[in-house]
Amino acid sequence: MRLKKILLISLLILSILLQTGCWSKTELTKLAIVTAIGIDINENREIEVSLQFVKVGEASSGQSKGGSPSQEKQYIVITSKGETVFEAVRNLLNSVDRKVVYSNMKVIILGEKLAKEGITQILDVFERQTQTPPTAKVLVADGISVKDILETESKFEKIPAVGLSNIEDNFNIRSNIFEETLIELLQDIRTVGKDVVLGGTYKNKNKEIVVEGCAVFKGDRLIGWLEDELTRGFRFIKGDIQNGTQKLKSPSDNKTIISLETVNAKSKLKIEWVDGTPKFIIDIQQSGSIAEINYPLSLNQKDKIDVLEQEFTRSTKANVSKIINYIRENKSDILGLGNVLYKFHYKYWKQISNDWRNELCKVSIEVNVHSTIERTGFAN
Amino acid sequence: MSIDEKRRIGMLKKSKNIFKLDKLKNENTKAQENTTNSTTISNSIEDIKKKLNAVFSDCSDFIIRECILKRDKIDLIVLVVFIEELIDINILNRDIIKPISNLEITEAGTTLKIIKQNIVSSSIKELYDFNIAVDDILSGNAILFIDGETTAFNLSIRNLKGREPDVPETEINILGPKHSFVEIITTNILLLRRIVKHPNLKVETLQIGSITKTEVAVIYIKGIANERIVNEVRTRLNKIKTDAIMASGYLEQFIEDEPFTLFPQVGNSERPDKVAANILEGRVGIICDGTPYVLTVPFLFIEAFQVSEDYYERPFYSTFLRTFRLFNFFTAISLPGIYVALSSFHQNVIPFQLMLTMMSSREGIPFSSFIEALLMITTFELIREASLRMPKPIGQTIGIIGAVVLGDAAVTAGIASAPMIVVTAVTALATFLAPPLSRALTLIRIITLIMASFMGIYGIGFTLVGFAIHLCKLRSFGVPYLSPISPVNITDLKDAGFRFPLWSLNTRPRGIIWSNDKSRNRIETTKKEEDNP
Repeated sequence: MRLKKILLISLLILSILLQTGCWSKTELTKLAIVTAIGIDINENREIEVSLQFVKVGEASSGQSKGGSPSQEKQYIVITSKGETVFEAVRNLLNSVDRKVVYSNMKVIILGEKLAKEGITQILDVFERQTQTPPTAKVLVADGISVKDILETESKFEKIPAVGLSNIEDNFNIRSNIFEETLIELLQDIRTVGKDVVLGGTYKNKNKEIVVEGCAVFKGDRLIGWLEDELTRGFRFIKGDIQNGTQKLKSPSDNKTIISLETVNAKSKLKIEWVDGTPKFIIDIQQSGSIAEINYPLSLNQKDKIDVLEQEFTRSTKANVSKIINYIRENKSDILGLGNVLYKFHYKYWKQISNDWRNELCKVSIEVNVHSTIERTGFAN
Repeated sequence: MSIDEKRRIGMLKKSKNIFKLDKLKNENTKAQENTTNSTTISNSIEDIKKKLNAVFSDCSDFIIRECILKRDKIDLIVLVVFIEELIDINILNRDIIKPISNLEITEAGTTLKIIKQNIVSSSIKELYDFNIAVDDILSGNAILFIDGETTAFNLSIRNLKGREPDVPETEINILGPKHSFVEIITTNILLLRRIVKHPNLKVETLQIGSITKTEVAVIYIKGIANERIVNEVRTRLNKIKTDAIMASGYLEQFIEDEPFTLFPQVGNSERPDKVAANILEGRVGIICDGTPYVLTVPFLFIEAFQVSEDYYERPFYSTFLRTFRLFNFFTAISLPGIYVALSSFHQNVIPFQLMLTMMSSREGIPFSSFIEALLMITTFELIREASLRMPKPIGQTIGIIGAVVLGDAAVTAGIASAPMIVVTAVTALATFLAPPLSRALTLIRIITLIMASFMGIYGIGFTLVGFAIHLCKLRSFGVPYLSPISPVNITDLKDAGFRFPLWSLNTRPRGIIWSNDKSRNRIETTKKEEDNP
């Protein structure tokens, strides 16, 4: 009886093994791992997809043991064309001798040309297939082909995509970097009354890849770029700066330059109603510490610090009003003001939604900045 | 009344009936033996001599020494019978033969009394059965037969020479006592008596094995140990039908609850302090002559992670070590499986940088990760077994060869990847953190590995759940194996994963003593009726 029972159970267990047959098994060495994808449109209006693959050398062989890293490139970039992204990728698969895995994709780079023509057409594939990690960062190439970006070596990392992703990760401590992940992009592009902003990347004079500034969209089309200072202003309004640097000029004489480290900046967006029209009030709370002064300047008295604080306020305010002007000129609602109306004042939104972009030029926006300088450093 | 309690009571009733039946059986068989095999001692000394020589023919170490006494001026022959090396010759000469030779008995009918008075021995017993006398001779006693009497004397003057209690070899600790059990049963009992100085420490001896007649002692504290468990131990030991008991491992296999399992259900230890602590918690010790390991029942799963040193130092580090051992139990079971599952099924959950390292180390290795893991595990087992079986001086060499084979050489030869070797090594070390389970762990690890290679992380899940169910079902002498984790017992959990301060461990484990009265400072002096609600 007991023997029968044991036999039966072991038969059942064995049959489980036969049923599965290890169908999804693939060894690590049989995988081609995609770290970055670049998408653009070429002259023939075909979609051009470049994939960056990891190509690891043998670590187990005796040579690389001596401590000197191998000079071999650890990545390859393969490009192919097609009418859609999916087709282009499929055309590419026939030349890859391993199973392609997308789950470690770090960055998605959109070509400038594609961005100008509208990005909705290529986003669909990312929404439908689940392999791409939603945390992949989306960047727009500024005046450079996506393939070029993918092929340029990173300074420290062996794989360029990892390097790019690491620079992006610095957005916490660099106020001129803007980070947008794939999932955020997919959400923003569907959000009513909000335009998309993506991080930008370009090649500088020294032929280094730089991640800086951001690309401004109107609808799904690229309309322009925010440079270094403007990006900072934009992020002041968004209020997500934890750390960044700012340059102030001493109000007394124009020679003294004070480098400030912004420790923290928070913002609040409020709506006040004046005669049936909304008035947006942006409250920015910022604090900073002095990092460097290039001219002997004593900060012993409180009034001197007060003066600095005022200058700090003025500088940020100027920056922010540049952004507001930019919005009004380009009629692109990157601050999501329309969305606030849509969410909290739907009746009003319904009346003006059709003409929101023109309305944006007329609507009044007030900026209040409160600054504190918390630390002046050890020097007197 | 909860369902659990009902079930427990039901079980108790059942087991009680079984006990009753067994008692009856035992009595019956004993009675039969008495009627058939009992032989009285003949009063003719020549008769006895003849009989003894027949039983011990061709035994050159068997000695019959004749002493001649005087009774009413007539010679009275007294035989001292023994086996040469089993008894202490010096004591025999000094305390027995010398005082009784040339003894004169004047009054009739006082022979026995006078002989008994003149023998200088602390243990002297009267014997009436010839067969028992033969058994006693074999177990190292000297027997005194007297002409004209049907009573013999059993003199316990055993030669107790043997290994001295030495430093424990397998259960080493830093702060605790540093002696271990030896092969001689009396020494082992003595070691326990030295620790537990209480009259309620009971020792019951019996002989098991129809030919070896190995002495086995059941040792427990009356009033703490549950009577039912003690009874169960007695019954199970009495039921053993075998010709030979070579070591306590034999007993273990005869008395365990569930023979078809990988997990041990009888604990063993070579440390007197550990066994004493176990007995004090209500467990029953079984000492087998010839083995320096004392068995304790019931054995719980959690005991594998409790080390006596845990109690000898302050609770914080002990607690850390306890949880660490428990964690490493899972490492030992599943680490190679997880490695294989990740590297061949779930690559997308590996952190990117780690994946690059793994990929580059696996590049150019001709085997799949499963075969690689199996290869490394078997190589490790090979080295372990070889170094265990080798004579000690060569064992060192094996260690060095093993380190080279398992380490650098396998990697440079391109047979195994470096991470796999790390995994194997960590797993191997983790196995030894729970010594009682180490044999089971090795087998479970291979099962997990195979399942992982078929079904990935699901396979590991299935295996672990399967073994969890199995462990929940196991019992050791009626006590749930996973107690106090399952069924949960909050007070007993104080000494499970955590080791609470000693002053708060004031109760005995309820799972073992099965009683509500579990205060550590009490010991039931009068035998209470078993509290069966």
